[in-house]
Amino acid sequence: MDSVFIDYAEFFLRILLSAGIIFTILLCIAYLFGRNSGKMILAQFFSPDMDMKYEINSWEVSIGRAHTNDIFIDNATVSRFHAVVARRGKGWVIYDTNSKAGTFVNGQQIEKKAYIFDGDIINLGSAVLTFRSPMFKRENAVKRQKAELTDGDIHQINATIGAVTKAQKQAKKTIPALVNLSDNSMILLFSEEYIIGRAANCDIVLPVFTVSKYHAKISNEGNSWILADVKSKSGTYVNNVEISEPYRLQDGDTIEVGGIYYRFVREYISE
Amino acid sequence: MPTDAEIRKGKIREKTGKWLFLMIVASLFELIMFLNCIITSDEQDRMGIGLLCGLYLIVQWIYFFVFSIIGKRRMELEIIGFLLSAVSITITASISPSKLLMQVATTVVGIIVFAVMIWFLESINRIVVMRLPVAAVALALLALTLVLAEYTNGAKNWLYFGGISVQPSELVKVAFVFVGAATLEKLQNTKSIWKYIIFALACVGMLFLMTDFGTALIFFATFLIIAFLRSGDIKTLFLICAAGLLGVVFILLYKPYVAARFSTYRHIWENINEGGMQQTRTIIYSLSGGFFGVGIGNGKLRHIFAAAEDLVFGVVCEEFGILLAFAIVLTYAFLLIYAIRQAKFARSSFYAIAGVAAAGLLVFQACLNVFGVNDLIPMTGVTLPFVSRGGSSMLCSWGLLAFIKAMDLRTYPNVMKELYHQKQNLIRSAENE
Repeated sequence: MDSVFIDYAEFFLRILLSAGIIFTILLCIAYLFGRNSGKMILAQFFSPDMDMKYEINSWEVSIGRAHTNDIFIDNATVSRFHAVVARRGKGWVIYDTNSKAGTFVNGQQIEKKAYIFDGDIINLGSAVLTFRSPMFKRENAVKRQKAELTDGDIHQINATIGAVTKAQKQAKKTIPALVNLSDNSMILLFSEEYIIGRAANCDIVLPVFTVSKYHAKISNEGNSWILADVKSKSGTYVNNVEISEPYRLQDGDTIEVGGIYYRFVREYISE
Repeated sequence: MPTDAEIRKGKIREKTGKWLFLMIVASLFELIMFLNCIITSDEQDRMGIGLLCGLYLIVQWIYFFVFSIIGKRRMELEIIGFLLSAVSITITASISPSKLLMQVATTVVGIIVFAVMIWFLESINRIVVMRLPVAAVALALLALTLVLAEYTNGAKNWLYFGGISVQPSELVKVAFVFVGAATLEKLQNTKSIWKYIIFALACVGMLFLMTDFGTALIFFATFLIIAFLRSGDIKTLFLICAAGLLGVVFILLYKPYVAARFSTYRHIWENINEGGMQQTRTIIYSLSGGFFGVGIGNGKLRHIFAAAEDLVFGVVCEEFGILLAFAIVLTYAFLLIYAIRQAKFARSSFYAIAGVAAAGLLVFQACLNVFGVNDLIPMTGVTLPFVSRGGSSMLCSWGLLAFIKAMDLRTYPNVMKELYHQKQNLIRSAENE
């Protein structure tokens, strides 16, 4: 009698164990397939010409003429894989993926990549897109950096700008210069060494978050000007090539520091 | 899952009640399983088994409380992992009690690795920075194995440190998925695609030289999944498969000893007590368990070589019943379906590709194991994820599960809140216009 009871108990236990584990696993799977997070709209592209709206649901979105792209644009002037828009750090970046017609942000052709902000106009071939991401405004990015600076820092920035302006006025001879490609402003290179960065005590202050605190150094050695990266996060580029060691600048070289482009002019004739 | 209104008010955390119930139910059945195992084991082993199983239960609850406190309360994947690992611990305790300490230790380390990976995978910047170092370490590990390892059971894939044996190719599986998905940082960038192809070829090549064909096949299948997810082009897949097939034909032509390793395939009944012993016994005994099994410790397959490792599916069928065995196999399939479904909601391509590739790898490996022991395909000696005994395999399984967990936005309440605000800003901005 006892033996039969034990056999039944054992059998019941085996059923309970199998059924219990299966039940728990199925419950987990049911929860797993429950209501998901839903699609997030991170940013948008508007195309006034084509009267279309593209939603960006992922941190990387490819744009091009090929159907496999996340944003497919049926336009012959757009390359098959034209560009990629990606969320990086504290903002959005557009990468040109070796397109034929190039990628332009607010009329400026980008060399490799560029930060984009709310309201920016992107040209891909003849297609025109307006980028919309209200959380990332260009002026906010600059303001955020300025807010981090103290009154002393701002005083020092003004003093630096003043010194450069004063030097520009005094200059009457041929000297090297850096020309900002976005607004054609000029930095004349009078001293022997300049530190470029976001920190207030840099010689050339770029209060933009894409620029590291101490980003790059440009110095005069004899007759040459040498550009070196100072362990910046985003790297320093010359003619679209990242420099890993000090680089001897040539007349007309394009320098990129955190998305800001300069042209090195060996002999600028000052007024 | 919180509603939109709750997210707006900042209440994005899950309530603990549901998960507490699930944890209690899972722990209860694990406890029954462990007690059953203790009763049927030898008297001198009972104390040790009891202590180690108790330790495993405590670790699960520590994990649950820590993650509940920091707000990450969704626990479905973890509980599935806990249950499958508990089955593995029970089988190890029952078949080879002397190896239980190592099995429990590696399972606990696996859970810790899982938790660390969940934290690590939250930031895409961290992922991009670690891509190259991980690839370099993975290649170095395989190269080291190729140089230092000696042939064990026909393959050169084990390294021994003191009394501990490690199978580096298992750990490299996690790195393989990570590097493959992370090279997508810049989409459609030919240079990065080539870098990954070279990395994949180096891994598969070294595994072939180690004659670890099962793992090489798993890497190749994972590569196909990643290639498809990257390109979305089925023609590319056919090209890669054709190249792979051609490579295999060349190997079989010029290295006939490779084909000799699979000579018993479809001939197991002719070699019933030699080459076909494992498969024939698995086929016979797995069905003898019926729907609910013969009970833990009462099976016969446990006496065959590698019962707790390669033949574990048969042991589960025989001792736990065919229903549970099928439920385990279906779990892998559900993980893959879930990963594919979740991919379109992933915040970045990295998470989508890593999650689907990891789930695909688990399913493919499970298929190789289950079909292999039943002689449907050649037996390659790969393990059944989470269930087979083996530390390296257990670490790999938990590592892969972390990719599936990380692809779900609900794992990271803070990221979800930020994304929700972005969406609201866009809607508000459109309304203003």
